[in-house]
Amino acid sequence: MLFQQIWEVFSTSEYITLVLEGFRTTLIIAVGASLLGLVLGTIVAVVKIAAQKGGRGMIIPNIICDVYLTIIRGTPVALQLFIMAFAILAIRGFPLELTAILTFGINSGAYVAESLRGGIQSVDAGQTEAARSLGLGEGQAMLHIVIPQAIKNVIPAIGNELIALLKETSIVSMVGIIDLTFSARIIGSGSEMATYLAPMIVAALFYLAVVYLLVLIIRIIEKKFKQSEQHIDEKKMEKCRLRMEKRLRAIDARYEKTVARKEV
Amino acid sequence: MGDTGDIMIDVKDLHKSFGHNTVLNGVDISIRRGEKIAVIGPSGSGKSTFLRCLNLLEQPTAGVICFEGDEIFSAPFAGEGERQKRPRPIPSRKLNAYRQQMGMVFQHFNLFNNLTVLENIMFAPVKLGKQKLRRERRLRLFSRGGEVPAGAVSSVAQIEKEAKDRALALLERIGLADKASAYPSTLSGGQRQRIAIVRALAMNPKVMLFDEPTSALDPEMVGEVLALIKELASEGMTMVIVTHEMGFAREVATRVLFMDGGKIQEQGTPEHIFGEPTNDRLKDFLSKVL
Repeated sequence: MLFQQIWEVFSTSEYITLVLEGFRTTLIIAVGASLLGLVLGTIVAVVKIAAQKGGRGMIIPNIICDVYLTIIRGTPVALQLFIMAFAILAIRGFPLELTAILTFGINSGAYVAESLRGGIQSVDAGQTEAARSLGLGEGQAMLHIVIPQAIKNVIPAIGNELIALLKETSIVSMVGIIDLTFSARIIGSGSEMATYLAPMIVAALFYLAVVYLLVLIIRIIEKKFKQSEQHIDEKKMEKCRLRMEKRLRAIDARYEKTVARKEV
Repeated sequence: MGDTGDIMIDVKDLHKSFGHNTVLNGVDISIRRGEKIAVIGPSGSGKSTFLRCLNLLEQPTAGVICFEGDEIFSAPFAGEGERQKRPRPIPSRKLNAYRQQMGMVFQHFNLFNNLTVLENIMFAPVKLGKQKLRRERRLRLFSRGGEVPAGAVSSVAQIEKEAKDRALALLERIGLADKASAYPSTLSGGQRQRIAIVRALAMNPKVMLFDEPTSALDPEMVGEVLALIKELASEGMTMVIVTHEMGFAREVATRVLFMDGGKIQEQGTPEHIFGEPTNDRLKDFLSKVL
């Protein structure tokens, strides 16, 4: 009976279009918000780190970041969404989806910022010191040595944040955006279906598929970054060696090319 | 031994405190070219802080540091118990140029974990070489076709090529050429420290600073690292070594400093320091460690 109803959701074009449209809305909001969140989070993390190191002119930006972090992390995201949709951005004709992207982006930025900051701080101070002792600047040390190691440390946390964000977007139905969750509700409340369970399960399958995909991607990225940490086996070592030799040959080739050009 | 070259680093009345904790309390020393200075003393005596102040990883609270006649850092000491004004930060270009001439070797190696051994060694020469090239090009642009000095590096390709050749030669020298593509985490402590030394050498420094280079090593690894440092010493490199290896200090150093309570309590040739110490605290210290 239940399977029949689930099949009905998939096979009825009216239903499946509604679900797919909702799914698209969910994805648009999630992707937009995570991009905004990553950008905002990086900016805030950099400001906080710079302020901590006693950077000049960082006092006011630091205060702004602190206020931002406190407010966003101290209030429920549903409330933030209401405030944005019904008060701040309650402008006629302003697309609700954009409101949702902004709300969730600003919200996730706060969490991303804290993860990133933790990641940067978890990199041993000796790494920066070594770079500085060789005569490299603060920025160069940060960019080439500290941040690559920090990213490796924060990939799991950021990945979890993105997954949570995707699922959290389901509350946009509260302001009337037809996302995946809302579309399931609409189908369930229709007179023909008359059950919530089947469409909800279909929606759940869609969420599960995306989350599972995200988990896989995160695992692959993590593995890529962990390369420098693993106890490398023979095969991987050989691969590293080949890659290095290729790079060294490229350096030689480039040098010979410039020498040849000069002689001409 | 007993070289008496010109004065390379001149330190006057160096003070450093962290909050209310005074670590360096007036250190004066002139380091001549070619000297090998061993700094010994009990823990907490300010040895490492002194070394870190030398290349300004810690900014001193007061004092003067001159390198080859150039004043790198200068802030007058306000006096005992007086409120010390915070010294002005050193312009970063000057600071970085100064540090490029000083190699530093750390207790915990501090190899860049995200780079392979070869990349570790090439990183600074390539990055800084490119930076210098950009700066020169910019200058040349403004001075309108000024003469390029003979032997000047003229292309990124040349910088990379030279850095690569030098890095490979250095690895060959310490017998770790086969580890060029390995990551630091796969190496032993002794190998890491030797690579850290070579990484500093890749910048062609005029002075090498060693901050307890063998303290974090397993006993059987100490020998290989000390051998490399000894080799450098015999080539005439100027160096300052903070160490707990008394035998090594005696063998390699041309001058030994004994620090305690943030001051140099006694200094002299190894024969003098280890053979006929006059300072009571030094006598006490030696009786405990020898």
